Amino acid sequence: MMERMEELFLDAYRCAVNGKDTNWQEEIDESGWRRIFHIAEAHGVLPMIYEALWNSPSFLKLEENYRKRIRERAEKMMLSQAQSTASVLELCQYLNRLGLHPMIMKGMICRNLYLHPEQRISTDEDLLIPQEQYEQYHKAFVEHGLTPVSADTELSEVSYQANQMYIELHKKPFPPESKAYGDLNRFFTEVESRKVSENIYGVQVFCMDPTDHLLYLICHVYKHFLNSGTGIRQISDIVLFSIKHLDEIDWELIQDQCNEIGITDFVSTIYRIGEKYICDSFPEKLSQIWDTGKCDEQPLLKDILAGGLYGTSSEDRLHSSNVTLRTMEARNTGNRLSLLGTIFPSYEYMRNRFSYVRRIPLLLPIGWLHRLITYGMDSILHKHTGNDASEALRIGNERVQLMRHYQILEDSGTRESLLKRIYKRSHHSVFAPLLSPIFMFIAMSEYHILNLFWKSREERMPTTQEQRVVRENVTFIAKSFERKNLAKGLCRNITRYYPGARIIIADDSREPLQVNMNNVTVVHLPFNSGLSAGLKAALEQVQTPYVMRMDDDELLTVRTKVHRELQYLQEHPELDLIGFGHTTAIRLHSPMFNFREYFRQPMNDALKPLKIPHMTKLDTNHIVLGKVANIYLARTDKLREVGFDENIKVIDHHEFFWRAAGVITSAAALDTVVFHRHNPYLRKYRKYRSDYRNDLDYIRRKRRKLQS
Amino acid sequence: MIFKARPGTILTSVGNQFFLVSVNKRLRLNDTALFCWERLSSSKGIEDLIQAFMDEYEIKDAEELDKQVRELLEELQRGHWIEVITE
Repeated sequence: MMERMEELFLDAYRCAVNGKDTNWQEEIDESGWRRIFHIAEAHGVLPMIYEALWNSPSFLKLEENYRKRIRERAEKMMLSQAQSTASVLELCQYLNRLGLHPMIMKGMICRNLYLHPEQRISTDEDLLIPQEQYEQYHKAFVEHGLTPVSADTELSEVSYQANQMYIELHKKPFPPESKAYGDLNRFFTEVESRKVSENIYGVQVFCMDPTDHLLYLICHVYKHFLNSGTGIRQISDIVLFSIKHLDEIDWELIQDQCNEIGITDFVSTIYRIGEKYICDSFPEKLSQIWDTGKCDEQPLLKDILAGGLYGTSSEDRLHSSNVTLRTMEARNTGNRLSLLGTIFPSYEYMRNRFSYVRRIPLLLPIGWLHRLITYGMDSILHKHTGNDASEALRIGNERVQLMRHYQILEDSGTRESLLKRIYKRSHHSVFAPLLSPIFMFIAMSEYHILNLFWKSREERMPTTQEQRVVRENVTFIAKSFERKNLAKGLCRNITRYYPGARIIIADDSREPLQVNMNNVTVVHLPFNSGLSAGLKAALEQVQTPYVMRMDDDELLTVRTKVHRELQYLQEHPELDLIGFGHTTAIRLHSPMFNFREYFRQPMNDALKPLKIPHMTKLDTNHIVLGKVANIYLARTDKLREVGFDENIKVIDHHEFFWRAAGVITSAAALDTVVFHRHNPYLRKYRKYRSDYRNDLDYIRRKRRKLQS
Repeated sequence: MIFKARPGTILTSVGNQFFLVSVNKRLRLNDTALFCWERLSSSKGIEDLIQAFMDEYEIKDAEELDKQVRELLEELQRGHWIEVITE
């Protein structure tokens, strides 16, 4: 639970962000005020807190000298910030004249989100530049009177200072050498090509586009959370930035990337704090996107308030980052945590603590000794103030629990997550080629057991009449790439359920797929033409009024019932597409578990509104959805009307339904099941399947063009 | 003459104090200087400024006001807080 002064601090902060006075009436004694201003100082937001308080009856009851001291401190912080801003703007004007346009990250761009920008204090200004232009920037900086703080200009971040400014020049958004968060740079490889400009106090400055910048802010908070902690100002930066650029940000992409990093719960909780404690008018859209109603914000808020800006509130807390960072490194590298590693931390940790280690890495052992002696002395000298190594360890362990609470770390205490970790790591291991046939054996065993189970529950194969109707009306299409056996298996499977049904496989493997079955046509495409090009080519050859789209790693089951859904489509002219449920080997989540993902996607961001509202129940088994899985039966003419975009190679799914909204109406058949046997050990397939950055860029550009 | 706020010059405030800030210098603003500066966020001629002062403060003595506004503009110009964009 929060203490009263923490509540008051948050109330003052909320007032400052929303441009309101606190108007407090209650009596607060001097120790209470000290506590409030102590938190404000620790979070670097004293000017904002003073702005919200200076005219409130409670504050005016304070002794005048005390109020004056607070005012002078707030003025000093704000003026020094304003002078730094002015100096950076002058630097930007100078660089602009030289044809150099660095991207400002957070800092000035975030200050501009606040009613009084200079009250939002930055410790430095971060500029991102193309790595190859570093020498040009270095020369320009020195000519402008800035001096490098360290002689080591090989680092990924080089700091410069002059009288009133401190600049961090970043060659990459995050230190690439960090095992805990260095790989976040993969999301920012193309940011330079998407940069945009902003006018700040009449000066043109450059920054990342809103989607990139929001992701950067999120990753930056995450980085500090993994270190010692994050402050309330970083939370409000994210929330205010999101509100300002609400309609420009590609939310689906942000969610996908957060999901990939494993921080969805953490980010949702940030928005929950914004909704509950920072913004008076929090957009409904943000609440929906992040499902903030389900978040437990108290543990994170407690950590934020205790940590101060970047978790720098105490030395113990700073040292605790050794525990949290090493836990993350262990997660990312798959290595186990060891006592030795705690006593002798990595070079990466040491270089941030001891400058001589950074300058001369060979001095690492001296750094370890230095650290041990300092810890020992701290333990002796500060035994009663809690400023010792055991306290740092306690904070570190508590924060690791917090990371588990927000699912940043799996709960290693459970058998399931241990198995999951081993399973995930095995995908990339040297044993992958051996594990592939084992996976297929298990998957096919599951498939047969499930089918037997369903048959025992009176599910049956299609009758001759049902097979005839499907044969006359439906063509099955699928796209195949480097998975010949799976594609052949699918053809055999469809033919077993619906003998003679026409099947068209579009194949763009290096060695062309050959299927010797009379009812199967293989459309050969150039190598790696992509998913959409394949589907488009297959669809062009369809001559039946209905088409069933599947993937080559799927199988029909006795519960797929294409014939029944065909009849449903024929009887419901208002529907154009029916999506099937699926279960995936090896985990076998129920189809309903998988459908839930689509229940949460109303496609509100689509070009046109849905013809029938999302989640409209048609009967006990059919429900209208904005988007269904890529296993569907559709009217051929309507599917052609929406079409497939050949420029998209891998991730066509959301883009297809984004364009389909308002053109066709989709529903889900809730009791149907297709078996999905996605084999994660097929290296060649995975290599091309996971290369989707170009698709993301293309889809974003296309969306913007269509939306404008 | 048309005046405009100089790019990179910052108007900021905390509590009831307003400041102009630029590289290496700062200026605490009184009410009239603040009013003048705020009008100059978009370019203005001296006559427009005088008219704005007359409307805001209901001033009748245009001659005296003209003198005061010119002095204020001179002071802001001397400190490089504003620039003359056309003669």
